[in-house]
Amino acid sequence: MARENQREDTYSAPLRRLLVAVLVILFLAIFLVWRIDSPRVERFRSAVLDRVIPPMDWVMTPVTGLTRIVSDFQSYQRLVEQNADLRRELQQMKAWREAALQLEQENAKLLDLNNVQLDPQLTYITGIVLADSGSPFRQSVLLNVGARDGITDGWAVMDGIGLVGRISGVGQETARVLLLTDTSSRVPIIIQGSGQRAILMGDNTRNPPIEFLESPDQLRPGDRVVSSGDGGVFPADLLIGQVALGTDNRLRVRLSADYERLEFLRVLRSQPRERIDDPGNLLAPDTVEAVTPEATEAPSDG
Amino acid sequence: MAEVQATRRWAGRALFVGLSFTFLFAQILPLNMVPDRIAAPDILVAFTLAWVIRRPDLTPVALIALVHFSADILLDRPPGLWAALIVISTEILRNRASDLRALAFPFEWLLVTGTLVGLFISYRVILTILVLQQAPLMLTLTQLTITILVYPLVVLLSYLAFGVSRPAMGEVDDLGRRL
Repeated sequence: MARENQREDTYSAPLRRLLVAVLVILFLAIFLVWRIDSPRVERFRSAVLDRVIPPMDWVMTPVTGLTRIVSDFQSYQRLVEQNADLRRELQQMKAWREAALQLEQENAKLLDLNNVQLDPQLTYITGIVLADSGSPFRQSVLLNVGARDGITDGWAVMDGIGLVGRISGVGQETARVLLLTDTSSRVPIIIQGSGQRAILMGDNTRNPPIEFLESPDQLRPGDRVVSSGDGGVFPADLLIGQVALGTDNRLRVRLSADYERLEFLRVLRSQPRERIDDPGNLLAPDTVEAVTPEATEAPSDG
Repeated sequence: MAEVQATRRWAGRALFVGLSFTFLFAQILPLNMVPDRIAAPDILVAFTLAWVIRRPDLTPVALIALVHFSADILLDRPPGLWAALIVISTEILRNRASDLRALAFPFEWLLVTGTLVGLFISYRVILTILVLQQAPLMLTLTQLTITILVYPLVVLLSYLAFGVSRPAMGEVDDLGRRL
């Protein structure tokens, strides 16, 4: 049946096979180069995303918007119930608000009395989420701010409430945020209450587990979890979430950030902390060395 | 006659590339940032395999390479590896396309299942050898299973929407050769 084809393909078939082989080898070479020198290839990747994603935004934004409207519509059906719930919560919140205002005033007074310097350099840039990773195995999003806006790798990213992830990969106009839920995300944390330090390890589930915990018995579900600032990557004291016991009996963190709706994200400008490198010198008055020659000569004369 | 066929062929190729990139961009829409317990099927792979088996002339290897390398870049995967595996497996299927024509669909499905399993296993093995980070096994397995289950649906939709089916006996291409 295919005899006639084969006669005509006598010349083109080997050539074609060669081209396919070259193509495969090229791909594998790219893969190996990536394995050996990943920063270079990752820079190429973010340059490509930089060129591709922002121009596609005019298509992607309406589609995203429409889909969200549909999912919103489902929640409109429960509007009355929600309204009642919200009123009840609002009543409770009013009491809290009063308490918070009083505490704020008190806090300000105490800070003033103690002459505490809050870190004035912690400012932020807000970006809009353009795209997500698209794969069920990677948890990351793409923001519309990049090197142009002074973003650098490693900066912490929050939504209004809690920590969301860190910058990993910066293009000219876009930056990728590695979410806390990604399998390669590791964040040093402190659990308030017991003050224990641990590591939050993303494992591609909604609530990442707490690892390297010294005494799990001291924890209680509901304890607040904040970043510890160990390792100098993240600023300290950023809210991450609350301790919860997972269905698999592991201690996990219920993240405070609203992962259902990541739309606007804050990138915290963190300055590198000052390093103390030298071991410290002996403290002595400067005058000692200048004086000694004369001082030693004088007694010998006398 | 020949020109008409050539235009139709190029239109088919453009359709292939256009649909592939539509799937890609639909995947990266920022709709769901919560990690799922069950992975969505890899529609792009099922789609590519279905078209390679049905119309190898509409899916030249260069286009497949282009689409899947772009997917590697866009979806934050190790660049090149998955694309290389896809090119190899589609070449194997393409060489058998003429034998496949007489095959009933269940056998074709079985063949695609074998190809997909081979793809996923070799991908994981290579990642393991090079000590790279692996996706959770359960997630990979669910994705593989759902992709296999979704394959007949992709085939059916390709046929209903775009008329992509295996060439009939005696159909000829623009040079008058039998397809």
